[in-house]
Amino acid sequence: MATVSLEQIGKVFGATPAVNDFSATIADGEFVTFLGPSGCGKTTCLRMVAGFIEPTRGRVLIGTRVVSDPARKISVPPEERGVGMVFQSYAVWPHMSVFANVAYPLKVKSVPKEEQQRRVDHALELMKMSDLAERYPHQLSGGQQQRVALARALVMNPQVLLLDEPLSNLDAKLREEMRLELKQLQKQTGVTIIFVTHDQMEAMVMADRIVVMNAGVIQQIGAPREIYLHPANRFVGEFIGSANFLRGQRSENGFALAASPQVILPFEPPAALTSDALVMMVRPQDITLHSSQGQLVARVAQKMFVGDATEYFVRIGDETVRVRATSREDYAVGAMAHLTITAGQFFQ
Amino acid sequence: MRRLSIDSGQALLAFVVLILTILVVYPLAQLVIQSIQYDQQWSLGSYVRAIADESNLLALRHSLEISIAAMLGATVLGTFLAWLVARTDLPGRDFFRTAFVLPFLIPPFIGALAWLQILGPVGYLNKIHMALTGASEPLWNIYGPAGIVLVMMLHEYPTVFISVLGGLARMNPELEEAAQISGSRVFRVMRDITLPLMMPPILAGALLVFITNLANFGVPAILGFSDNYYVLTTQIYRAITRSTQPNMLNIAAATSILLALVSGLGIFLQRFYLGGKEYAVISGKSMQPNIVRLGAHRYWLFALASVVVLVTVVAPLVAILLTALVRAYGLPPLPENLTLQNFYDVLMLNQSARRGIVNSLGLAVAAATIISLLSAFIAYIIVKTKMRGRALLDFISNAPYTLPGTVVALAMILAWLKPIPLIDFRLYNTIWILLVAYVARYLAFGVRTAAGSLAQVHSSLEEAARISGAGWLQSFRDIVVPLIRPGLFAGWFLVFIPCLRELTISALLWSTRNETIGVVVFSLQQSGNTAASAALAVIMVIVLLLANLITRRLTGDKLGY
Repeated sequence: MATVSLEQIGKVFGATPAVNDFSATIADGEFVTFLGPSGCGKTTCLRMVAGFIEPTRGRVLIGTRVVSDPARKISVPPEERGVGMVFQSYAVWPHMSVFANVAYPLKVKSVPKEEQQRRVDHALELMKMSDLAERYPHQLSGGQQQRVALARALVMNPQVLLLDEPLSNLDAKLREEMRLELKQLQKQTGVTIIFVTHDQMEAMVMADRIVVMNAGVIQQIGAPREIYLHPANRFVGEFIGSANFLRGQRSENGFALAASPQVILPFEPPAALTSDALVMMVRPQDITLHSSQGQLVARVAQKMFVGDATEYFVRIGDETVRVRATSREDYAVGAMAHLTITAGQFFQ
Repeated sequence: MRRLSIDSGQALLAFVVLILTILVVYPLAQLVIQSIQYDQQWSLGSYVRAIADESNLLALRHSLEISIAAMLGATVLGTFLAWLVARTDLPGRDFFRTAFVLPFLIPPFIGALAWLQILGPVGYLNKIHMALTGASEPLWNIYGPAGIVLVMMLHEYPTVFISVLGGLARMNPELEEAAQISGSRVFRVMRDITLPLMMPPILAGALLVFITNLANFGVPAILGFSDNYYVLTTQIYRAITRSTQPNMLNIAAATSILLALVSGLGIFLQRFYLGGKEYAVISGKSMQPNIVRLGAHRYWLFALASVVVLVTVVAPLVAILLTALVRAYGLPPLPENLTLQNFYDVLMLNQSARRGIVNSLGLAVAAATIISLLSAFIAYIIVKTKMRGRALLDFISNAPYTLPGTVVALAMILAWLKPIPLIDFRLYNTIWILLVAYVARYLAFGVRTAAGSLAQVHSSLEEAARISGAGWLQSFRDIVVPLIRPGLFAGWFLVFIPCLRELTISALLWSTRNETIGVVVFSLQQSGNTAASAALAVIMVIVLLLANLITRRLTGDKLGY
């Protein structure tokens, strides 16, 4: 297995920069997710690791081997990088049987027939596809094609496995199943995995670490929990989970919301934030509602019962705040409620 | 969908059925009926004689040989060029993408005529060769099967080119990338993945080329007659125009049904193959496909691509233009021999050439207009109603284009040779039989485009008109026709251009004073008046280029080449 290093990668398509100063090191056996909205450059980065796209600047290393370095005119083609990849469309070849699909990488490397048989059998077994070896892709469901693609990517025992939104074409139930299986698979094989997705839930569930990207620039790298609890900036906070962004002023011993300036909330903005006009990010579940004695008073504008909780939209002054209440207390639309903010984070 | 009121619906259907019966069903029925008659008796005698005739069997063999050979050549060339344009970093790809389709602009028989100027016994290349080497024999004589195959191949490879180009564009590039990441080098990916996946479009294009070449009349007529080399189309033409034996038309009918069967087999194979094998395309992210870096190969491949354009487009046009500009055929194209006299002759003095131009333009305008109107009704029935027999309607309106032109022409002769009862008017030997044949032949083009646009018009638009109080015919006129007008308009040009370049049908149906431009070019060439024939061919090509240009302009580059 191997580490993957991207060092100060830059990629320009024509005149439009797609990726800027991207640096990340994926440790041996780690499961890292590139996460971001569509067009943020995450797939471009993945394809630069695969070798389908050459970076304009920077270096790509797989293990200790430099596979891309435009400055030194090094560019190892995809077929020599020894990585496995699962494509968004699975790219299972329609004119080959399941067995032939999985055996193809071995055939290219002229692996002896008996060994091909053995390794394909093993890969198919791993993906629970053994009894479908003679089928053709058009006889398979989307989930089964996905497994074929995975088996094909793993049959060479690659050092690195690249996954390009592999779950986005599956239905919700299958997707959940595959998430678990992928995690399982990684434990079994110890392969280094880079996984691209725009689905923050998926990223949280699966990754050891997440690289959050926007507009071609890394916003934050960290474990899911860290990214969720301590987003590096407003974009990350907004993109991961839902959040309220409440404008306000730094004041003595606390923070005053613009919507309710007379109340001083007991949260002190860090001194590192130089300006006094700040934004406080509050997750909906970090606000509790009471019938009396809260920090603030708000009017319930809208509510949605979602089973395990009730989502309220309450108005404080002219600010609308989203609250996720898990208590059994019920507030009618139009009623007044008291609320308390239990946690928050400040941004410039 | 919709129920027409009994009277208007039935009236419409009756009208369409009547027209299609006159245009298509009756002539084709006549062809079949005459083929199973001999000495005015029901008999298979015509078939027996058609098959017993060794020259017919030889023609059948020739037809198959040249069609298959040209198909193979066109397929290899078209597939390779499509790959070159779509999947490599060949310099000037965008130019070649357009240029490789240009042979479609030149009618094949004009191409044959042009190649005769280049590689005929006194063609330019042969003369240069003889002058340079002192040889007394030409380098290569284009008359005969090899020349026919060459010209057909050069004219038909764009069919495969377009088909494969479309296939490559629709193909998910991730399928190729998956092979690359599996360790395959670029050329191995081509062999293991791209080529097998492209087999359906390659075969579809190949069979289309086969059918087209089988039905081609002009090329084997120009390059075969003087060599006494006949294929089925020219054999039938020879039988009809030159034979005097009894039951000649019956035997020709039997022979042409033989031709139709061979062609039908090709169509059947094409449908059959496409039916089962089209690979579903799962679309991934639409990514730039993998471009093969040609490296040092790019230079000679660029040269090769340029030679293809030179040979298929530039050389024939230049050759025919030079011949048209030379004072007398056979003189070298030196400044002192150049003249515009030939153009003056065909435009001013040669009455049949002048008539040919006028007739062809008139026929093309008339046929295109009639088809546009007619196909609106036919397409309406096919697309928008649930009338019984509408599939049959579709089939019938397609038949005359699917069949070889020679077969259609013979059917027209057999149907309209005798005066029409009641009005006692004989269509044969008038310009009207050409019009009827053209309308039948190209009806499919109009119906196809009209049906395409009609499918886009949601039924509710028309229903809204009906609810507002408009009758069926009124809503058809006020709502449907305006909405599909762009389609009808496009269909008009799709008919207009092929009518202008028609030769196969016209060659059998023309009569004195009722020539078409293609027929006059052909006749001038056959009678040895090469210079005049070349001049008229140049005029024809210019008219076609202009029509193509106008078509592109007016349809916003959606149609034309």
